[in-house]
Amino acid sequence: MTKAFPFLFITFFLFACTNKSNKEVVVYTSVDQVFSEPVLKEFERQTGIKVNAVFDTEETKSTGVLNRLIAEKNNPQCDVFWSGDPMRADVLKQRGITETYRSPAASGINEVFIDKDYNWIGFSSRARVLLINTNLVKPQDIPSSILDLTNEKYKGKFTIANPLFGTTSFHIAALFTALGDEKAKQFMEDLKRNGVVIASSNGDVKKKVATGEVQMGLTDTDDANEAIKEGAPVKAIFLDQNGFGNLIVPNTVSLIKNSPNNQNGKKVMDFLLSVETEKMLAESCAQMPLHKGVAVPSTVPSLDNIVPMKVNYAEVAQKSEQIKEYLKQWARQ
Amino acid sequence: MGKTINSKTVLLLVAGLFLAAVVLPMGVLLFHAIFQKGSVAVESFTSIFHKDVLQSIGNSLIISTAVSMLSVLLGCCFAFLFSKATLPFSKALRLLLLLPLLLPSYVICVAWNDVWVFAGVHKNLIYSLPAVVFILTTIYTPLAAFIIQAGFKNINAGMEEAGMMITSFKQVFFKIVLPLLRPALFSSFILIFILSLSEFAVPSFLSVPVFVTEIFTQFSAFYNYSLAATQSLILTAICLLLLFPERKYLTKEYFFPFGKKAFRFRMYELRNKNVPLILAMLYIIFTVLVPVVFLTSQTFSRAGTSFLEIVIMLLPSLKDSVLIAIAGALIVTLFGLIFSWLTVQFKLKFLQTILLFVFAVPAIVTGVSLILFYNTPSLNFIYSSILIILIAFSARFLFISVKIISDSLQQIPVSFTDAAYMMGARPFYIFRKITLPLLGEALFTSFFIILIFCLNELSTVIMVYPPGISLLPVTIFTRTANAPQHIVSGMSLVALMFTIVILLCMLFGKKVLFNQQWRESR
Repeated sequence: MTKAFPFLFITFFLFACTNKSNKEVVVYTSVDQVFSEPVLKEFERQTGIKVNAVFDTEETKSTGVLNRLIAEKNNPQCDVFWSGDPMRADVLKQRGITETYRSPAASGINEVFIDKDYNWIGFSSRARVLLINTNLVKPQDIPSSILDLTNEKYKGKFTIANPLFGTTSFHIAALFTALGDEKAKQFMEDLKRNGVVIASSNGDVKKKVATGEVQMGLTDTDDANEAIKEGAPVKAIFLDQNGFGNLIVPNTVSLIKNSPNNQNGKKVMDFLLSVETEKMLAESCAQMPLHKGVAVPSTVPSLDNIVPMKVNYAEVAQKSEQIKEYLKQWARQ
Repeated sequence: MGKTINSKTVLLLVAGLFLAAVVLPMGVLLFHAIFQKGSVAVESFTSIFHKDVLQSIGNSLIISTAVSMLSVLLGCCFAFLFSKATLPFSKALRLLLLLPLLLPSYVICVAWNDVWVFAGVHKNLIYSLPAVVFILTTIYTPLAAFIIQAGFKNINAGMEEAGMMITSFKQVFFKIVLPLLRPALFSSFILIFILSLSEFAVPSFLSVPVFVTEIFTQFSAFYNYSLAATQSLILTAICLLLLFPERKYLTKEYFFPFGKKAFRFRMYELRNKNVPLILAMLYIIFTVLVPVVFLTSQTFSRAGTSFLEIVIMLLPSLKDSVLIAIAGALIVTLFGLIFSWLTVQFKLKFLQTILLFVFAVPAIVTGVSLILFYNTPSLNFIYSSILIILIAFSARFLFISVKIISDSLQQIPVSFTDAAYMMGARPFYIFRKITLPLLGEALFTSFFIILIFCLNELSTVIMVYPPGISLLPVTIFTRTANAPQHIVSGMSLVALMFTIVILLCMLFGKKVLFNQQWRESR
């Protein structure tokens, strides 16, 4: 019996390691855990399907889950990828890692926010905003356009996150598609000349503005919302409302090709694309629903009241890939 | 003799299998990176001659050299004060000095940034190379102190006393004590050099371009695994170059038999205790307590989520983390012992070189290589279980364990085991009754340090942790992004307190387990 013990132990261990229930689903997400976990818990509660999640954060430039998904391509472990922006979802599409799924829950969502091949579908969106410290910036000095940041009076007083990563890279790529390469490069060079402070992340931008280290910075609405909830003297400004508009950044959800729990993955997608999820995200992090008529707190801006930047999200994602080398050089200068 | 061969074969087999599990994934990734489409990827190698890359390498070398020199110097001073001098409150000071090592480096970096912004330090000073050196030095000084302290404790009082009879303390220190300390000094220098060379969070946060951020960018922005892996190889080569001085100056050197039993341990009575005490306290207050106090004040500065709620929020991760970290520290120390034995007893020095190669590979490359290697249907039982985390821990930290244990192993006098052989004792009996007890302190040190590293390891673990498992550093990091500052600081404090409790339990356990009555001090 004593000699059989190690054998029994190893058998049990291997069984424990490999035993998987069909009442589960694996979700990788680059959306901050503090916001994504409650949504996934609610899905678990409603369906009884256990969600095994791998969380990442934009603070790590979403390196964890994205590189993992790419590396796992030939033997997928994940069923659903919930991304904080369309760019990463499009990277996966370009590499043949995701598959088509026309979720019925996406029916009320504007086609602008859906990949033409349904490899990713957008929902609850954030916007890129200029966060200003109200103790340091007078109302008359608030810029109305992103292009104003090259003005001499803002020299050394504003920050953006490293444009190689996260929603900032998406924002700059959107500017390149909106302005054209030449004008956009000139704008970037002017930003540099005007002493832009490069922060490590959007969260860092929020912190630098909230503490008064700089007067203003470009970040996302959820970061701005957190700063406001913390009682920081800040205000979020939607830019270019009389010009080319403000960039809207939807979450996206994608089904992974040949995933182990494909059917459960579709259920997660349906849930994430539902009105209920958009309502939860509006309440927790002020994300703007893409379905019409979702009841949201008064602090959540409405897409009806914002002039959005008119962009083709897939095109922006591809532009982002093209300008990386330039942005790498820009960030180092 | 036959038994020696057998034991060597068995050990080699076990070590070989383990090495394959840890090294093969990286070897395969690097092979594919170097040989692309049937030929050597020359472009990947020549990429390092780009101006920016050279500047990154330069920054990395400056930071690593400065941090390791400063840490070893400061660590040596603290180790002397804590282990050889009769300094008051030394136990409390020793514990306080350890604090920066118990927190993830990014938490310390954020805390220091807050302190400097609060103090009105100019941003050109905050986002600078000296700031990176300062923060990393505060983090790694306790590691140096810890390793060098073990070296000090192993010096036989007889040697110092013989010296003191004919010359001054200064001469004894520089001519006897320091030479005897060389293995510990070199070990701590190499470990800290490699750790700071691989450090990503601090230079990245302070916008200082280093080689690891360059590699990280290739991975995360360009998804260029081949170039990143090739650049990792260059980073590894830099680390391997470091081993040459160690090989040249230490391997052929005769080590005095300063094992423990039957040896006395000399303590020095300080003439003026106040000056070193005040200096040590000032250092600890300035470099350790300031960021910790800042984190504490941020935690309790706001109403809202209470500290207890933060603890409850982190409880599930605490349980998983501690069990996996203990398992990791045990496995790494066990294999550390096996590899040290093979390295020292059978002169298989190349094993250490292989482990150094694995250790020097940036964490993110390690993570990707483990995914690519283990994520196959046949190895899924490893990839989708905690085994993958244990392999990641081994890849990251086995070299540290081997350095600590092998340094101690080569200091055990051969005469001890030879005498036992002559008495007819069997090899395993000799190992159990002589070698193992003499290695007790080193094994404990290895377990202690590896446990700390396992509890805080983030970069590789975040790439490979199986879905559904919750680990403390990952939880804190992924919640940090949008959580209010007081919760972020609170989570860091909980992690710190939790680690301190574990370490105190370990130190208490050490006191119970290791009967130190034989260590006669004076």
